[in-house]
Formats: sequence, C-alpha cells, structure tokens
Amino acid sequence: MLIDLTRCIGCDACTLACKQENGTPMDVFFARVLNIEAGRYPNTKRVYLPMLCYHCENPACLKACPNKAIFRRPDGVVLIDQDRCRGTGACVSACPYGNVFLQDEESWYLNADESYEKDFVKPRLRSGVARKCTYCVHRVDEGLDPACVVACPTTARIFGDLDDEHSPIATYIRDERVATGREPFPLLPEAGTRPAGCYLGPMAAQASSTLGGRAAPERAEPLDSGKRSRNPGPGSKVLVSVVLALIFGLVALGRAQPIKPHVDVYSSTNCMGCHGMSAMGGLGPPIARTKLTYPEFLDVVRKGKGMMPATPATEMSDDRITQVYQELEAKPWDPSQIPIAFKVGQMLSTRNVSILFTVVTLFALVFGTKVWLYWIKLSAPRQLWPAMKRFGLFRSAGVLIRSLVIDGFLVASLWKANKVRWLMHGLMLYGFCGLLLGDVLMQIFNPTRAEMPFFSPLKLLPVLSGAAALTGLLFVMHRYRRDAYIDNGLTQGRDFLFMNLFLHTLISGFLTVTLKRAGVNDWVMPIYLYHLSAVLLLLGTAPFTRFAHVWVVPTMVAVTNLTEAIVADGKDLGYQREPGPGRHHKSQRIAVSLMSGIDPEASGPVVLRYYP
Amino acid sequence: MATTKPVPGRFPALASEPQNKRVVRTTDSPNCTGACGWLATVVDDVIVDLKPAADYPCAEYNPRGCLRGMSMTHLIYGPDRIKSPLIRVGERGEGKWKEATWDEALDVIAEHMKRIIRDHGADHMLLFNQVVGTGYVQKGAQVRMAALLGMSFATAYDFNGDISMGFTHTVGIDCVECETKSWSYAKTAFLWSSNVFQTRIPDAKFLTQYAKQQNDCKIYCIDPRCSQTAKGADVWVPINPGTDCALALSMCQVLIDEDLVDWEFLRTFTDCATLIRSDNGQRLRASALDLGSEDEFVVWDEATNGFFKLPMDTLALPDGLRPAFRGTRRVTIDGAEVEITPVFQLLEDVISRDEYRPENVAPITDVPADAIRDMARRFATVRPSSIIIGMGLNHRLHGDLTIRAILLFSALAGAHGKPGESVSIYSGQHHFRLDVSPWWFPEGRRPKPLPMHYFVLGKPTETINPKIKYPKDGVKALFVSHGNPLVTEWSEPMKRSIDALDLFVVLDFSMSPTCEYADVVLPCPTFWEKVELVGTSCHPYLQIQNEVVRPQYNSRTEMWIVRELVRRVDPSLLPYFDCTEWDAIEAMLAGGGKEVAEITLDQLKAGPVRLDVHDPEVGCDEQFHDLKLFPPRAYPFPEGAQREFLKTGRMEFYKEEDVFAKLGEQVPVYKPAFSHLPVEDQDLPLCIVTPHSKWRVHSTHSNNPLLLNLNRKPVVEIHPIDAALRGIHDGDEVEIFNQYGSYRLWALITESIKPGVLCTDHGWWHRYLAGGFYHSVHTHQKIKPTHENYYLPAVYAPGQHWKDTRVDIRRVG
Repeated sequence: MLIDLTRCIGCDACTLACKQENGTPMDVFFARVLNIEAGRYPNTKRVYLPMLCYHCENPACLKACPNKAIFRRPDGVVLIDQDRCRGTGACVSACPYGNVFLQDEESWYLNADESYEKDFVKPRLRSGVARKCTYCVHRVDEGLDPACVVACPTTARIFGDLDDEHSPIATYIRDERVATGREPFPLLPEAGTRPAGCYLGPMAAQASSTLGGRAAPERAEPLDSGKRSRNPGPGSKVLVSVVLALIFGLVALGRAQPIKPHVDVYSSTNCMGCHGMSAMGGLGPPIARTKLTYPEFLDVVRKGKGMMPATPATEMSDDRITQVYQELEAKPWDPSQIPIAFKVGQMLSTRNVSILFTVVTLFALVFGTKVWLYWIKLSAPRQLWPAMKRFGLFRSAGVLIRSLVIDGFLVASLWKANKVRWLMHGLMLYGFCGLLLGDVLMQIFNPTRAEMPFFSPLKLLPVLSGAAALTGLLFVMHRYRRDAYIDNGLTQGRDFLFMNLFLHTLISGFLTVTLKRAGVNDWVMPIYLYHLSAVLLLLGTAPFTRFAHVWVVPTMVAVTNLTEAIVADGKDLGYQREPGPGRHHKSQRIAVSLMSGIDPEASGPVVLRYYP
Repeated sequence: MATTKPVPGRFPALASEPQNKRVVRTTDSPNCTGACGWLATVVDDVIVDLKPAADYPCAEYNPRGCLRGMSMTHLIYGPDRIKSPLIRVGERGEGKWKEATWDEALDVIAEHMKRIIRDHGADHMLLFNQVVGTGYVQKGAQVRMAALLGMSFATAYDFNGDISMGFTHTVGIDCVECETKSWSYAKTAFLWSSNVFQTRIPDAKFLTQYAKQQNDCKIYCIDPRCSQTAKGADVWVPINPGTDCALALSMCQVLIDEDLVDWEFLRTFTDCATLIRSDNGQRLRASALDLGSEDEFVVWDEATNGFFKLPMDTLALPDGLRPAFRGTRRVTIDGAEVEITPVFQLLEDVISRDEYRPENVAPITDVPADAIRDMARRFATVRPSSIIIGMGLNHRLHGDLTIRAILLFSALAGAHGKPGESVSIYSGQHHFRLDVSPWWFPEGRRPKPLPMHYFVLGKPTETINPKIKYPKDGVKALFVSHGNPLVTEWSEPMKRSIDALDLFVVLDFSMSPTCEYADVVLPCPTFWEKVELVGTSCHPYLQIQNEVVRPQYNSRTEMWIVRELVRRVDPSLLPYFDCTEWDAIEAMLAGGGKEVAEITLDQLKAGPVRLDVHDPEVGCDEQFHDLKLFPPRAYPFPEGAQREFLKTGRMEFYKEEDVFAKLGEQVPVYKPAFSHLPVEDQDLPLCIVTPHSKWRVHSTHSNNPLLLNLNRKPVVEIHPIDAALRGIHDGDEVEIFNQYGSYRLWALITESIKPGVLCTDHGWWHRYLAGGFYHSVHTHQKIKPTHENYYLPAVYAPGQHWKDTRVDIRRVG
C-alpha cells in the first residue's frame, strides 16, 4: 500500500472505516493517523501520517512470536492467527511501528445488550490475543480493496501488487516520479523490516508569513534532542573493543597454560601416534615429537593411553622403559611419520579447544547482543526513557526484572495455559541451561578434562541436562511434524536448522559418552569431533536461528509489560492522549524520523498531537 | 464492526455468512451537509457495516464519506439513544423522567397546544429545527404543520450565525457556493479562516489531489491557527483574529495601485459604475433624470458623454458602453444641483486611504506588507483564483464588512464565475437545491417567521424588522427538533427563556443536553431509519435517503409524529398529512423548480441524480453564465423576494440605506473586531476561537463512543508563551473565564496557535468538560441594525458573533 502524504488530510476516515470493518474493541486502532506538529511558531509545520501494518517482508512481529501465530502468506500479507495466538505480547514490542495491539481486558463501546456488538462484533473475535491490520484480506481475496482504501475520501491510499507493473500502485509510483519527482519511502528503513507499505511525501511548502506576532521572549528550554544521527554511537565501538580484548586475553591465557598430554583428554582419548603412519613407523618420531619428559613417558606406559594398554612392571621393568626412552630420544625425527589423526588430536588440546570455544562463544555473544540490541531498539527504548523516568526507574527495573524472571525464565504464561507445553519448554530451556552450567563448572573444577567417575556431579549434570533437552527437543520435533502452523512463511528454514543442530549436538554428545563407556575407542574420537563441531555451529548460528527467541522473547515481553505498566500508571500525557495507548514512544520516533526525512533543515520540536 | 466474515487466519474459516444479508444504498443527512452516499449492510434489521457508495456519475466525487458517517452505527446503537418517549416528572433539567407511551406523550403535548391556541394563539408556539436543508421531507413535515396551524418558526441557520450578511448585502443571497469539484481548477486558492480539511472532508481532495497535486495550485491558509488545513497550504498566514477586513482592503489597494483591476468584470457584474448622489447618499435613479422608473439605475457613459440606463432584465451591456468609474460630476435634479460620483470612486477613496497601505496594515494584521502585496498579485495574475471563506470571519459583529471587503477584492480581480474562480462559503444547508414550497407551504400558507434571537433575548429589539411579529404574550411553547441549542455559546440566557415556557418539547435520537432540559422528549429515528430527500451545496446531486432499517427502539418519524399531533390538535388538517414520504418527494420534484424539472422519483431511487445546473457549478451560475440579474433565487422564497435588498440587480459594494450611512458602512471599511465590546472585555488579554472539528457536526457525535475513543478530552489550545505566563503546563486543568462566565477543560500547549489566541473546538456537551457549560463566556448578544432593516428568514436576518469574545485563562488547582 502506498499512502500519498500530499493527498492525506488526516481526517481519520481510514481509522473509522477500519473500526467499522474489523469491529475492534475500544483502544484498538489498526489504522490510525499520526498528527505531527513540528517547529516553533510561526514556523510550524503539520504533517499527517496514516499508519497501519506494513506487512513487512522481514516482519519483526512474526520473528518474535514464540507461537508461530504470526505468519506471512505467499502474497506477502502478514497475519496473526487469533486461534493460535496466546497473547504472549512479544510481537507488541517487536513491531517498531507500534502496529500490534494486545489487551488484557477488552472494553466495548455500546451497551451489552446491543445486537450490533453482541451478535456481530464480539462473536468474531477471541479475547486476549494480539491483533493487527490484516490488509482486510477477507476483502482482498474477493477482489475488493481494503476498507481504509475504499473509504479514504482523498484517495490518498493506493493499494495493489508492487511487483505487477500494471497495478494501480506501480503505475502511480511511476507517474509521480515523472510528474512530481517524488520517490516512495518506507518508515524506519533502519529497522530492517522491509515494509511493503510506503509513502510519498507532502508537496505543500508550508511556509509561514507573519511579522511574528507578539515579541517572542527568548525561550530557555533546550531544543528537543529527538533528532540524532543514525551513526552508531561510541557505545558499540567500546563494546567491540572490550570483546576483542577479552578474546585476545583468553587466547593468551590459554596459550600460557602448560600442556599435559598424559592427562589431556583430547589427545589422549585415542591416539598417541605411537606407531607412526600406517602403524609402520615404530614409536620413535611421534613420541619424540611429543617431547614427553621421562616421568611423563613412564606414566603413559604404566597407565596406558588410547589403544595402548597399561604396561605393569611385571611385563616391563623401569630400566627397560628408561632404555626405550633413551633410544627414542636418540632416533632421528621423521615428521612424515606423524599420523594425521595424531596431528588433529594434538591440535585438539584442551587449551586449543577451550580457546576455540571461547572465541566462538564470544562471537556468538557479540552477535547475540547485537541481535538483542536490535530487538530492543525496535521497541524504541530511547523514546520510552522519559516515560520510564516519570514512572520511576526503580519501578521500571522492577517490572522488567519481574517479567524477565516470571514470564521469561519461568515461562509463566505457558504454565497457566498448558502444562504439557510448559514441560516441553521447560525441558528444553532448563536442559540447555544445565548443559551450559555443566560446561562452566567443568571449566572451573576440571579445566583439563581429567577423567572422573561417572557419578560425579560434574559429569551427571550435563548428562541429565542433555537428556532433558533431548526429550524436550524430540517432543518439539514431534510437534513440528504434526503442527500445521509451523511454516510461518519466513523462518522455517532457520527453525529447522536450529532444531537439527541441537539434535545432532545432543545425540553426538550422548554417543561419545556411551561409546567411551563401552570402550569402543575407535569411534569415540570421530564422534566427539562431530559433537564439538555441532556445538560450535550451534553456538555460532544461535543469534540467527530460532535459538534467538530464548533471549528475544522474554525481553520483548518484558518491554511490553513495562509499557503497559506505564500506560496504566497514567502519568504520561502522550499515552493518555493517544488512541490505542502504549505506542506513543514509537510514534514519537517515527514522527522525528519522518520530519528529518521530509525537511532536514527544520529545527525545533517534533510533537505528536492526538487531538483535537 | 463489522464485516460478516470471520477474522482472517491461517485456515479458511468454517463459519458461513448470514443468509439474510442485504445491502442498501442511502444518503446521510447530518448538519455537515456533506450528503454522502453510503452502502449499508444490514443483517436482521441491524446495520452491521457501512461503506461509501462511490456511485456518483461524476467520478471525481467518489468516494464521499468521513469518520463521522463511518461511525454513525455508534450513535444509532449508542448508549445515549432515546428509546421511548419521556415526560419530565422533576424540575427542568433535574433528570427525572417517566417513560411514557406515545399516546401519553402526544396527549400531553396536544393538550398544551390546544390550550395555547385557545388562550394566546398558535403563533405563541415556536418551532425550531436543525437547519432544514437536512430534511426536506421530515423536518419539512414539521414546517408544514407549523404553517397549517399558524405557528411561529425559527430557522436554525441564522441562529447558528451561519448566515453571511456580507453576502446578502453584496449579492442578495446569504451565501454563494461553487460545487466543490470546481476547486480543482484553481491555481491560487485562499482558504480564509476555512478549515476544509476538517469540515469538508469528502471534498478536500479537490484541493489536495486536483488543485495541488495536478495543478500545482498555491494555497494560502489565512488563519490564526496553523489549522489542520494549513498542513496542505503553501503559505500559512497567521493573521491577528478579527483583522481580516483590513487585509482584504489592503489587497484591494494593491490591485488598484498596480492596475490589476478587471474593469470588464466591474462593468458587467457590479454596481461600481452606478452613481451616488452627494445630497442623500442614495443611488441615482433613472427616474430622477426622467430616464425611467424608480427601480432603474444609470451610469455615465464616457463613450457618449451621457447617462446610460442599466437594463433591468439582463446584466449584458452594449459593447460600446464605457461607464465612468471615476470622477465626480454635477447634475441637476429637481432643480437642485447634485454631485454624483460612481461607486468605484467612493470605494477607491476609502481603499486608497493611507491606513490601508500594506505597510500600515501589516502591524494590524501581523501580515508583512510584502506578503500582502504578493498575495494580491498572485491572486490577480495566476488564475483561476478561488477563495473559500470560513465561519471564523462571519461569526463576528463586523463579519459582514469583512466579507464585503473580500467580495470586493475578488470582484476587482474579476475572480468569479469560472471553474476554479469563486468566493464560496459553505455555511450550512439552508441553501435549498429545489423549491420545497409544494410540501412545506400547502396552498401558500407559511409559518410566522421569528428569529430565535428574539426568543433568547426574551423580547424584541427596538430595531426589530416590522415583518417579524413577536407573539404578544411571548412564546409559550417551544418545539426543538434535532437541534441542540443548549450546547451553544448562548445556552444560559436561552435556559432563562425556556424557564418561562409552558411547554418545551424536544425531538431527537440522542439524549442531548437540550433533551435533558425538556418537558417532553420524543424519540426520533436517525437518518438511517427514515426516508428523506437530500441535497447539498457541496455537490449538485440530489439523493434519496432510505429507510435502511426500521425506526429503531420505540422511535417514530417526524412525519408520523406530526400526523399524530395534528390528529389530536386539529383533525380537520389531517388530510394534509395523509401521504407518505414518497408522495412528499414527488410533490417537491413536481413543483421544485427548473433544477429538478426533469428528475423523477424512479431515477432518484436508482442513484444520485445531477441537478440541472452548469457543470461545473461555479456559484451564481445564472448570473455569470446567463447574465441574469443578481440575486440568485433563494429557495423556498418566491422570485423577487430578495429584490428589495439588492435593488440594482448587480453585486453591490455600496449600500445606500440610511442605516448603513449611520454606521459609516456604505462601503466596506475596517472596524476593529472588538471595538463594540465593553471596555472591561477589551482589556482581556486573549481572544478565543471556536472552530468546528472533524470529531463532530456541531454537537452531534459529541457523545459518539467511537469518536470519543479517539478524541478523548476537550482541550483548549494555547501557545507556550501564554501558558508559561500563567504557569500552565500541558494537560493541566484550566479555566477560561471573563465577566460573563467560565468553564473548565484541559490545556493543550501547542506551537500551532498564534500567541494571544485560545482555541477550543465547538460542540462539546457539558458532561465532558471539567466543569461549567461549553463556552459560557460568550459576550452579550448584539444585533447589528444593518441586519434588521430587511427581513427574509435565513437570507436577510441577524447572525451571531460567537468569535468576538475576549477571555483570560487560569490554571485550576
């Protein structure tokens, strides 16, 4: 849909046409009009910005939905299925335009016994679900235009298929490019949502002609700081520097650690390379290459290593071993005789693997944080900040933390809605957390991964967590197979990537442990290597797959809850006045962004006026 | 709501659509007078969906409609809908009611009526209905009853103040409008205090889409507020309120100084060449020179150096005629030597005064001299040029002078009579599209006209026009139909007048503040529940308003109510009401004049039908196209009824009547807007404007829950400086006050209003305010004698000066 701001007169006919068509409850406005006032008297400018869902190509709401209730049709229309939606609220904060509406309690306009609402409006709608503009697809599918389009008395809305060059919208854009030199633009392109709804700018000059009226006294209050450059601030540079310093520090720390091959879990599991390439090279060069000290050599022989069994003193005396050691040391070293497996095994020293994991994890963290910040930014926190201050920063933090814990970590909404699904979530969530915790504890208490008894807590924790996660995952996969809602038209590939990686990680992990217990040493190393690669891939792709919803959804829900609390608090004028309270901060950002696009030279505040 | 289709989701819904769905084409007829065509979807006698009909043969008009029409369902089914007749049991306004049957309610009213007729006479009963252009048939039925019984009748149009006496003085009719499509052609447009983006929503596209986008029209918005319309303007001219006349006259001076005057236009269409006698200030009659009758006028022909008698059957003048516009000549009349001067010379004498030099007008109006010159030049040279006047100019005591000055400015530029060239004032639907007399005035019987002003004042003024017969015992009963006069600025004095009544009946569909003060409230259907014939000045289509659903709840049409009253009061009149709405429409079509002569009821039932008028209609078409004498006929008054106040048959910029001379207003002059106020008012620091907003049609929709959901609170717009001076913060509760009263609402601090000006939008019901009664700060009513020297209801009658109020504001608490 294209909206021509030259034509729009801000009459709100669209707003009401939408209400009339979709029968939404009080305070819900799929179509609305921002009434923007910019500048200072007499250089006041007014712009109307009709807003509705832009049916983005890359919809944030859809990606934020933990439920797959939001989907994108092949024709590009993004819908929220009200039968599927569970009112989590993540999409509300995720939409950078504030176009998703969710209410805990619905109120209506007419007396309860009026047939209009009782028999025709309410029966269509489920309560407690997120709602947004549907482009009136029930009309579009019949070849009609959306209600707001047919009702626009200034025909400012042009609807059609942008890809079809004969469609009214494509024709209009072409014609206007020639006639008035205007190019269509989307709102907040930096949000990366790639909206399908776009605008043509206003043509009226809106100059002012006055002597200035009463002499205007100097005004003390500072100019609005709303207009800021879109360049990344120094914050992100500092963040990147810190992360890089951490990485290099950890690498250095790792390299500084001495290698202890005889206890080194990675190079000791399978191959010492004792017999050289094709088991033909005898003991010499590889072991020499290891530069074992004599006590270490002795230790290896006595305790056994890899495929080499332990050699008790009854079979080989210490003297004989000393002799062998000396012979080996004396022999010339032939690098060609070092087996590949050994080389790999050697590279996989605890130190190196730790470094690799640390680096990948940190990159995942950086990108995860980036992704997280992207989502937070979608919810317009900077514009919410003044309202948060008015609400009280401690109170705000309280709401956020409470929500993160209760709605996020405890997944309270699911607990209330469906215990089975909560269990499924819990198994995966807490299983994964257990794995993570196990890894950290292992790193602390057994940094070299020395062998330990199977029932030690350090060993049990990951095993049990893994089992939980695997159960949850299998449950989810089973559901994926059965659930018709799974393909939301956008993220299915990424979702499957995550699930499969997770599955492979867990299964290969268990296989490693089992094989080792069973003593099938030949297979332990390859499987373990596979496990490690899977873990690395899983971590590396985490920010880009469905994995991300682990931190994105709770955050978005927390912000939604905070916004609701601020609205309920009722102290902020913007939220008091706006139709559909709860999106004032986003509207504010859009208004500022729009005005700086339309009139980059202008100064002065950009104010949203909701009425009259 | 709502579509009958399920909410679109992942899978096709199984729910089926109702079988008994039907779609009805209708027109709405609220007092915005937009007359928009709608398609209503009806299921089980419930309107479930509204869509613009978009079926006007002239495609530019499609679609018509706005937020108010679109939300009408929430008034039809709204919580304030009156569901049965109510009879007051407590004190007036106390809110104690008895729900009555129709018989009970009508019997009570009829008893009172019979008694008043017997004791005082039928003229002691006053009917006051919403501007009747909104209901030729139904409100017409009430007028028909008033006419037959001999009741008094007050037109809402002049009581609203929408009557534009400046137009009446100049062109002999109270308003002139082009069809809005005509705006499209303009390349220069002055929106003079007009907020068409809010008040003429369905027509605004002719400015945005056509004039601006296609024609690159330069739009000037002259308004102390950066109104919603200023958004589409190229230049916002934040003029000082009430100084528009000075601006217009200054622009006139620019046109004359820079020789941008269209002499041909002045020659043909105006009185500028007619001659004014110095001895009595009267126009020189042909009879004085023995050239013709008392009703004929002469000009001085410079081609022949002799008098030329203006034809009184056409505006066309001989090609060779070169009337003198300047200079004073001497002529002997009845033995005495008299100086005669062309009107133009007199106008020029005034306009050329130093006080109207742009440099001197600039500090008055706050419009820079250069801007004044630029505007005048642009208007005269980049054509077509249009002016749309808003009520902010007219709702002033001296608004007539302002409008006369604007008409003079446009006449000097010759900007009339072509597509995109007109001065229009869309001030209400009193402007009948056809002669309704066959239905309203059976056998020529008319009700006795009585302007509402005199009822509110409680007595006639000394200067009241003798044609108006104020009832000798005062008004005894008042019938208000669909009006809400207690939500006007004048509600307090009106309540006092109502308190003296024996009977106060209100007919409406919503329980308005006026209903709350009534003795008997009769529930009427909304315009979605009754048949009506609808015309408007915005577009030249005549349309049928259908009975989309039956009258809801226990409401009855005005037609039915009138019939039942007549049955009780005077059964001999019953045959006059033994007809249906369709019969009434047919009668009006048959005798409605040439515009509807070819139109049949069947055509109308099929869809909107264009009246037989020029395309595009430019306002005063018969005059500018066919060169018929001014004024255009004001239906439903007979041809010639307006002649007495426009004797020359041309646009009159000189008014010869003594009453004008007494006030020094023979030609348009600038009089400071507030100069007529008492000193203590003039000392108040702020003026206040009360524009219409898109949320309401006057006070209709004030209680629409859908619109209240958007427009949540009444606010007063105030500039940050004015607010800071008074310690007012955004959103604070504030009180607007002066010596006449006060009311409380909430502050909205905005950079879009001129410092020194407050703005509250018009029509809020009291219950939404923080306290007090809406705009109860209105200054004492004044009637200008120049509005009383003739009388023709809603054409030559007193108006209002709502905007002349001065106030101050303070923070509450």
